[in-house]
Parts: sequence; C-alpha cells; structure tokens
Amino acid sequence: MIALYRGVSQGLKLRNFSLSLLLVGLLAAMVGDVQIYASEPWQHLQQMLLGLSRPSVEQPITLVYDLLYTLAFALLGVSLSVLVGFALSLVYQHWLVRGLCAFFRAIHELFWALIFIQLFGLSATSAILAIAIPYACTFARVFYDIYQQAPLKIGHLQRATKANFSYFLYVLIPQVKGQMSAYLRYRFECGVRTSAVLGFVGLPTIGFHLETAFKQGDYSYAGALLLAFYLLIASMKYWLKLWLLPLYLLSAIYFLPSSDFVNDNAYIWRFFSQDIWPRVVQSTDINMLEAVLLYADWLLTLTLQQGLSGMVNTLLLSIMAVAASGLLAVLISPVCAVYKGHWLAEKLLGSLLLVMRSTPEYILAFILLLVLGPSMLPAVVALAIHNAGLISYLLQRNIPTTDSTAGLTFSVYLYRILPKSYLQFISLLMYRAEIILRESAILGVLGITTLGFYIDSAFEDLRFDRALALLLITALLNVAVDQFSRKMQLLFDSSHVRVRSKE
Amino acid sequence: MIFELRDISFSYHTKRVLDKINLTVERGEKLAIVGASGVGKSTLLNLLAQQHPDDIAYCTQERNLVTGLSCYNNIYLAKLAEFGALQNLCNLLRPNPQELQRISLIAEQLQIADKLHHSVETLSGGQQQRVAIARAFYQQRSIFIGDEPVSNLDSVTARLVLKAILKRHQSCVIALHDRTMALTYFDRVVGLKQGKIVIDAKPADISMQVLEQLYL
Repeated sequence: MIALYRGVSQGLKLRNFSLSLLLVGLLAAMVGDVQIYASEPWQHLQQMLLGLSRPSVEQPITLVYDLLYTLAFALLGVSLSVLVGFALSLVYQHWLVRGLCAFFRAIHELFWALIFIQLFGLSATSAILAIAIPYACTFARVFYDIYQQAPLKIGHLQRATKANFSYFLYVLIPQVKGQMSAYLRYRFECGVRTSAVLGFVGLPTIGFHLETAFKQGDYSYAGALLLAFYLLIASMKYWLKLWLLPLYLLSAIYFLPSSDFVNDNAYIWRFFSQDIWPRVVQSTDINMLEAVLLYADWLLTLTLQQGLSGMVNTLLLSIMAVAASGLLAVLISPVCAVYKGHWLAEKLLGSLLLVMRSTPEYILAFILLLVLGPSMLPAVVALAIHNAGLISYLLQRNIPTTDSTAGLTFSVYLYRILPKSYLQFISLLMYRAEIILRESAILGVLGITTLGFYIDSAFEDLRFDRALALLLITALLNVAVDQFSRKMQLLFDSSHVRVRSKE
Repeated sequence: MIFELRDISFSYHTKRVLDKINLTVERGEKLAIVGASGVGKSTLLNLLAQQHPDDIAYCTQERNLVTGLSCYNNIYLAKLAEFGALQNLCNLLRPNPQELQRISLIAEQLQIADKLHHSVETLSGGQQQRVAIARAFYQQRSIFIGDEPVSNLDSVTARLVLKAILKRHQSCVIALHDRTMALTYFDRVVGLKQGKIVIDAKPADISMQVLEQLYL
C-alpha cells in the first residue's frame, strides 16, 4: 500500500492516490446496499421537479416566520460559539482542550438537538445550544490553525516572552483577522444550513415545514421554501455586515419563539443520574467495580447488536460518498474553469454551485430518499452533490480572472491550472472526509441503517442509555477517521497548501 | 568595550559560516561590516545582538513588520513590554497622544510621516525599511545593530537615513553593501571573506581596491 505512494513525482503519487480512492469507493458500493427500491422513481422525480419549478405560498407570513427563526437560531448559536471558540483557541495547545473539542465536535448538531430536546423541549434554547456546542469546538481548532499559519511568529520579535497578551493583540491578530473574518462568514452560512435542518427534528425552523410539504406531496410549497432559503443564502453577502451585527443580535433575541415547555430541575437531574445509564448498573447493592464490569458487558452486547452494523454501514457510506464527491468535483471543476470569464455561463455555473453547496446534505438526502427508496444510494448522491459543489466552488475561486484565462481551453486547463490545484483538491477532499462521516452517521435519522438510525430509534424508544452509548461510539469513530484523513493528507506534504495544521 | 568575540566559530549543519572570529567593539565606535552575500555578516550580527539585548536596537533584514497593522502601531510595537496590557489595548483603539507625538517626530525625520496611519503592507519596500528603522529609533537604545538597513533606499535618502542612525546611537554595528558609504560615514570598517575577518582598519587606511577584492 505504502509502495503505491512512492511515486517518482508528486503527480504520480496524486494519480495513484486518486485511483485507489475510486477503487475503494467501488468496492464499498459492491458491499453496500445501493439499489433503487422505488417502483417508478423517474415519474416521481418528474412530478416533484414540476412542482418545485412552480413555487407558491398560501400563507406567506408562516414562511417569513420560518426564515426569521432559522436566522435567529443561526445568529445566536454562531455568535455564542465564536466567543467560546475564541476563548478555547487560546488554550487549544493543551491536550485536554484539544481532546474535548475533538470529541464534542464529532457529535453532530442534530444529535445535540435530540439530547437538548429531552432537556429543554422544542425550544430556542435547544436549537441555540445544539448549534453553539459543536461550532465552538470547530472554531477553537480552526482559529488555532490560523494562528499557526501567521507568517510572523511572536518568537521573531525581541523580548516576546513578556507581555503575552499585548503581543497577541499586536502581532498575531492583525495578521490573521482577515482569514478569521472570512471563516466566520463561511461558518455563519453553515449555521443557517444547520439551523434549517434542525427543523427536521421538530424545532420551528424552515426544515420543519419543508419536511411536511415534501411528505404531503405539496411540492409547490416546498419549492417556495427552498427558493426562499437559496435567496437568503445568496443575499447574505449584501446584508451580513459586522457593524450591523449588534442590531441583528438584538432583533434575533426579540424574535425568538417562546416555548411553553417547562422542565423542572428534578427531571433534568434524573436524566443524568438515571435515564442515561442502563438498568443493570442502577441496582443499589453493587459496588463501583461491579457496576463498571456490568456496564462493559452491556456495552459489548449493544455494540455487537447495533453498534457494529451501524459502524460498518456508516463507513461504507462515507467511503462511497468521498469517492463520489471526488469524481463529481473532477468532472465539474474543468467546466467551471473553462467557462470562467464567459459572462452568462459563469453566472449559470455559479448559481448551480450555489444550489449544490447551500442545499444541506440532509435535505438533499431526504428528497432523494423519497424518490429512490431507502437504500444508501440517495445518501451517496446527496453527499456527493453537496461536497462536490463546495469543493468546486473553493477551487474555481482560486483561478485568477485575468484576460489570459478568458480564452482558457481544456488543454490549457490540464497543463496550467490542474497541476496547481490538484493537490489542493485532494487536501480539501480529505478535509471533507471527516465532515462526510459526521453526515453519514446523521443520515441514519432518515432511515438508512447507519449509526444515526440506531441512535434515533433509541431516542424514540426513550432508551437514553442506548442513545448515549451509541453517540459515544459515533464520536470515537469520527475522531479516529479524522486522525486517519489527516495522515492521508500529510502523505502529500506540501508547504503551500495547508487546510489545517499538523497536530 | 561593549562587544567581545574570541575565537568564535559558527556552523549551520555542516557548513561553517564563521571561522575563528576575533572582534572587540568599544563604546562609541561606529563600525561597518562589509563583504559579499553569504560570507556570514548576518550570523556575526546575530551573535553580537545576543550579548546584551536590552541595550540594543536590532534591525534585521527580515524587518519583522506585522501585516494588517498600521505603521504607527508597527513602530509602537517595539515598546509593548514596557506598557500595561490595558494601555496597549486602548492604544490599538485610539493612538496614545504622547506616543503618537514621539513617533511622529521620528517618522518626520525618516520621511514617512504621511504614511503613519496606513497599513504597513501598502507601503513600498523602501518605506517599509524606514518603518523598521523608526521602530529601532523609538526604542531609544544606546547601541544600533543593522543588517543592510538602507539597502532598499535611493542613494540620497539612504545617506540621510544612515546619518540619522549614526547620530541617534552612541555605538553602531551595521552590515552594508555600499562600500563608499562604509568608507565615508564610519570610523572603522571590518571586511569578511569566507567566514574570516580579512580587513579591520580605519577608513583612511583602506583603499577602495582592497574593499573590491572582498567581492571577487
């Protein structure tokens, strides 16, 4: 395996890597379930597209409220997570902080929402916390990575050991503030998408009515909701300004939906002291050691019954999705590059990429599942569309729009653009691998038998002990895959392309 | 005597950069170091700068300017450790009037006063070089060590800035490429070749031809 990467040139290494990735993806597709179960998928799809292309709304006010709540949750959740994440990034070199962040961000926002809904009901608190916790941990790592990339290190200056805080303000922050604010902007867009998806577990965002509309076959309404959502994301660059943020935050707090759900502290305490532990360890006449042994035994049984199959399916889906995302991006990127500079074509492709990357994977998978039936295929396609859209967008952004590229042909692309951008492409793809795994697990909530399926069922059966144990397994799997994809990325050691630091 | 090196050698990995250097510098001396690229001038300066860092303003070739920060703040940066964190934070939001005045005077002397509130990366190479020198001036140290501090300036400005450097500091050790300036403004010239000191004399005792030999 390793010998394969000892290519003579970087290009050869990259080719071998890409081909083996594709091969592994194909192998996974042979093992995994990728059949089409629906009887007349094309007819259904046609009907759906027809409806979607004629968006109509009966009660515009509901739509406005959906959008407002979606935005309010995203604004407050992301803002909270920036503050916490920034503080954490300052102490991120500590192994404990690093470990806890890796663990907390490995648990998907929807899973956090499922937990918080048990505690705080279908309320704004649940939504905001579900966004804020994993986002804060992501911010901590990304900000820390950005600090590492600052060209001028504090150590280069005289007497840097004293006045640490001042040096942080004067040396580090000015160098990285541009990168940090660009990332914030991107992350806010992610926050809006996450907030929309939270509707699928019952929180009052746009996803809630989207799910209902699709399930009831009201595709015109679904089309209107999706259109409103795209417009919201596309218009973000015009209204998302830092100086307007205080105003937005205040309005967000004002508009937050009120919830009648009241949970007393005794119930919350019971959740942590009893509900999340299996009955076998709750008996009073056993000591600590016996409890641990019994828990281990219970965990082993659960892992064998559900965890293992969930893990295998999650991994299979992820591998297929990574390979498919890569393949799709390889197909789209040259088209984007060649048509860059052609006014109409560029605008059209730009909109296509926008729709691809701003439709949350979860919503795409949900729609495709309705059309194709419950196998892994819709999930693979959904993940590929979203990730290929994002990767192609990031790649084509780096191609300069000079006069010389206006006449860019496919051959010029192959020889001048591709060699430069391919390494970045692989780097991005490996970076997305961790995110794809998180999503693969969560897509189980839709009925595909990945880990999320078992977790969701445990929540539905009010078996919080199982839910918690399976969540732990999911998080650990995610951390392991993250480490692995980092290693893969480092196979192509490059100083000029670095999506993240070498931890 | 402010600096003393006795039989000092220095290697990067296996490459010997300095070879048994003996050098003493007296207080009040203005010393120019000349020699071709890669003969060890910067290494020599680094060794000297380590001897008593608190009395030295050291202008390295890298300049160490912080992109995204104004020139004023880049100069102010030199004294961060001397002020409290709160004062530094306030200065970032609004320049401290007292320090602004001090820095403006320095900037006027170096002809960069009009650029003081511009972001440092918008300046030309020569202007950035003068910001680095202004940072050294602002520290008000008695010794100046400079590695090609005026290399990016036109000859008129270079002379003006060099004179200002020499006037403001009691002792100076400056690496230079410009042989004429070395012979005109300094009271001692040290020539390096292949890691060894081959010239160490007063300018009056050195001819231009001897200096040219260093670069062959």
